Amino acid sequence: MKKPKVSKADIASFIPQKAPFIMVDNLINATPEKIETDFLVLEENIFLENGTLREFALIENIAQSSAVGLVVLEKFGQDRPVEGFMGGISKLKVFDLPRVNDTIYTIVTLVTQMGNMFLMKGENYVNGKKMLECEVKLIGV
Amino acid sequence: MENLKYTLKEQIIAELNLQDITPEDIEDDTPLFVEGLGLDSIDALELVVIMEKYYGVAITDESIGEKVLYSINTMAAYIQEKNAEKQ
Repeated sequence: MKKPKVSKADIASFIPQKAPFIMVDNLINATPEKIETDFLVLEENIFLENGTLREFALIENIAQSSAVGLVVLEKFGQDRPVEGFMGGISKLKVFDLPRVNDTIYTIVTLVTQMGNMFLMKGENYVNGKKMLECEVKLIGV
Repeated sequence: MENLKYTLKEQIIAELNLQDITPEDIEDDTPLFVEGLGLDSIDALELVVIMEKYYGVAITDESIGEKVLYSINTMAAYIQEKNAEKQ
């Protein structure tokens, strides 16, 4: 397997969230075309309900994946960890939800940017099956 | 120009999923943000998407965005200006 661009050990230095709210393990790759991350759903994940990860954890995963990728791509936030907030969620579609021990593979693309405002499109997959897709607006502060 | 303005209004309504608003409700020269259409600054991203997706006009600078995205008139004028530069 290819070495991640940012590994689980370092991911916390890129985003303001602390455990147990970190919803990204590794930044697999980041290019101007797409940002890829993975995340293993552990039994102790606080967003599990009856062994299933809730949808807002997937949205958070997309937001955190975006933040790490945008920093690596030097789009913003050269002072780490980056500070910001989610300004909106749109075009949300939920197809399925991951379960304990599933690894979520996430692809995020930058739709547009104006200053420190970013519109990101994200998709979560487990074993090739799409779980959720949405657009999130991220605002860096 | 009038067609462009009307199309812009339709695209804004669709992209921002504005409920109970028709193109006729949006004045050409009133501000789109706050007191006009009531959009907030984060909604500007959807307007940037419209400018890129339908007209090939990129706006990455916030200070330019502030002027261009002020009203339907300013958006239409900027599209025409950029199209003229391309020809």
